[in-house]
Amino acid sequence: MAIVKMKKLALAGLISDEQAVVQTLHRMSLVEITDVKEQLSDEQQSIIDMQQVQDKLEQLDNDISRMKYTLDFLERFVPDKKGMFTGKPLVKADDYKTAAQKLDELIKIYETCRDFDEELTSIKGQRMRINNAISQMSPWVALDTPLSEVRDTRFVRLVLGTMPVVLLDGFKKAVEEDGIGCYIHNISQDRNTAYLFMAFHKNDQEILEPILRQYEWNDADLAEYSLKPAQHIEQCQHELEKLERSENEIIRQSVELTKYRLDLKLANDYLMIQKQRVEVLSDFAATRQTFILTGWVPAERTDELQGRVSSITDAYWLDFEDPVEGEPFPVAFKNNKLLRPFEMLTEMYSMPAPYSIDPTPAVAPFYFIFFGIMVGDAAYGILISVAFFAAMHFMRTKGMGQKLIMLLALCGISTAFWGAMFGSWFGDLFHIKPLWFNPMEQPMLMMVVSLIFGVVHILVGIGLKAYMSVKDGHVADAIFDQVSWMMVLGGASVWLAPLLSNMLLSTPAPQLEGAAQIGLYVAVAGVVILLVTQGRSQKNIFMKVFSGVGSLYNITGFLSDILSYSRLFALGLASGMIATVINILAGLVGMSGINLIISIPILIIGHLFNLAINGLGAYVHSSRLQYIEFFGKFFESGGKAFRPFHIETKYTDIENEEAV
Amino acid sequence: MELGQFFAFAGIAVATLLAGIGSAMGTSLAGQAAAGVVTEDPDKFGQTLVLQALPGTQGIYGLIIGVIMMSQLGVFGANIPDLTVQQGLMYLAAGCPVGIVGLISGIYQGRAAVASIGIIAKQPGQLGKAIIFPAIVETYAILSLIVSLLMTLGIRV
Repeated sequence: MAIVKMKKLALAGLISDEQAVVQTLHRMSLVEITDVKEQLSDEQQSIIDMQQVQDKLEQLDNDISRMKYTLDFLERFVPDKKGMFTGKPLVKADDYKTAAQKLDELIKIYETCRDFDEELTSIKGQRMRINNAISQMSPWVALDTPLSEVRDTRFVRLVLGTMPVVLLDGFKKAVEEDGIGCYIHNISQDRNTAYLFMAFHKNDQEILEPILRQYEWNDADLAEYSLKPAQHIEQCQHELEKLERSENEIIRQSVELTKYRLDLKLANDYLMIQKQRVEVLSDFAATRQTFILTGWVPAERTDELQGRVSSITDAYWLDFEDPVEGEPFPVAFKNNKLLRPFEMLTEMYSMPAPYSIDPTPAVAPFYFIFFGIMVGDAAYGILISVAFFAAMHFMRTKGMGQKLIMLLALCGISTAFWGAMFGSWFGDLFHIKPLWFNPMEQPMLMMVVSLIFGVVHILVGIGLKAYMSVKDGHVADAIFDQVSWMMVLGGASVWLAPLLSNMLLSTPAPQLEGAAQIGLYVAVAGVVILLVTQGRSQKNIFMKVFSGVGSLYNITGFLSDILSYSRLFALGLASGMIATVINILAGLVGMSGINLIISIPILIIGHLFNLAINGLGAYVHSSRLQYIEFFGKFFESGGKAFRPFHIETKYTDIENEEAV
Repeated sequence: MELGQFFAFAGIAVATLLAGIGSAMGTSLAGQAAAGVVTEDPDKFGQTLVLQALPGTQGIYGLIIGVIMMSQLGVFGANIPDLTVQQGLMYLAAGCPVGIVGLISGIYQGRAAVASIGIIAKQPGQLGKAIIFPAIVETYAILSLIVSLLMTLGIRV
């Protein structure tokens, strides 16, 4: 239940040890580096020379982008197989060094790939050009004459051109009417256009020209061609085949290059690691002989850090300092193994403020219970747990993904528990008796159970706020603002219990009458505290009274918060209902003999769908109850997550980070 | 067929039909936005799909009420019992909350989902937060589901 205490660290050493220190810090993933230059004067900053770092970064960036380009290029031909459970290849630290030695070779491969890429682009362009030529030429295929011969003679003009099919007859008639000697040959025609050969006397040109315009004649632009159209097409096809061959050759060679893929990945990640180690230097300050860095380190691990640094060199100065009162420090959580997956829920909302509390231990049990109630089916729970425990075992995931998988695996257990309580195993498929009660038969009881969980959850939320106030030394505030409300809510709940029991569950509960009386007194005492204290910051006596009375209005807020927990009941019932519907559907088909061929797929697909949709709903709404109803009572956000200087890789996972 | 039975069936229809329309419109809005994001970045398919699915629950709530009414009326069995007009109208009334609220909240939840898909487009790591905004809208569909459910279970046939 704690936010890790951080210490400010300052480390100075000789420039000759700088590399070793950076490497160690990188491997340890223990220190968040802060920019030391922020604490320096302008004059001090002016002597720091960053040029070398910049140059080195540029070089590394350049090489990284080459590796990535090559990998992306190869990906186009042989997609990298990524199985669900395989993930990134797991490699040894030495593999990086081997790959790094091959860097020159890999850069040559990059250059080859770049040339290939250019060639492929050029082939694409050429192919487009040839295809254009083919489509231009193909209507003229029937013309069995070299195009060089379709040229004007001394008296006769020979032309090729097109005309809309619909105008052709009109044109022929017009020519005839004008008495022009003109030979028209229809070489081919498609739906819209007729491709024509015409021969006429040069003297007729002037008369013919306006007619041609009128009938939308277009000269065919074939001056650059001299052979027969069919020959040209053949030539083009020949060229296409050639292009295809050289393209295939490039592809074949590229595919062959994929054997370097692992090396490229390793080199990429090696360079990335180097880059991170250079990049961090921009937060250091260095003279010609010395360097200094500052950062944050978890207080409990300062000795470990000191030990590691002193194993590198004796010539260092290391100082740890507590943050100044109120100085924000990066926030990290410390929880045991079972609670750790639930940290992700808190992280997703926001990191808590550095001097507040880590709500994860309080979030965890409620999230666990709520998720279980909302899905509420034992068989589903077992499926969820088995699937995600298997995923945990077979998949190598880190960070959020891993936490989510563990979270769902755990919540599956709760789901199975509540499913058994409610007697739901794939809905009512097997008619198993509930251990507690069947919510479909006693919905009101389910509703009451949900609201009780709500009251408890909210009381815990207010209690945490009281705890925070006490921790900060504001005991009076805790009693006036939080304990009072806990008395009102808790007392009123007990007071109303027999009444609600009678009304909603139709079971009189006389044994509760005594407790109810006490509950009433507690609630009234709470109300009195509120009336007296809520105006304490006001000067004016009327304002004091008004604030006191006005604060009671907040009861409506608490009421709506509590009613919000009815979603436990609604979503829990929803999954049971849909399961029942699926079972009914399968039942209508029939559950025996040949009918099983249809009814079993209905059951499998239906229940998987129900599991998915209700799992999503449970995940979302359990989160919502934490974020809005629960966190609203106490949570102080605004922390910055602790991000230690650590090794990040893109394509590979490292077996032993300590060796990189 | 008696008028009472007709009204009861109208109740089933209102619950499933209106809520279904709401979900269809909501998921369609979100689906269009999601398709746009996936065009740019196919890796975001999973995340945007989750957001698209959120406004789909109203239709399911309508279905639940419909099925409960049908099982109460014995639609799956051999014969449907006679109902008075009053009883039939009660089914109709019971179908209204989940139907009407489902229709409207489905559409509006769809809009919230569209906006949340915008979050995913720009900030891929923020699915957890993006999910919450549409989920708040869903609260009211859940409340109407509860009311419809309690009304339905309260009808004595």
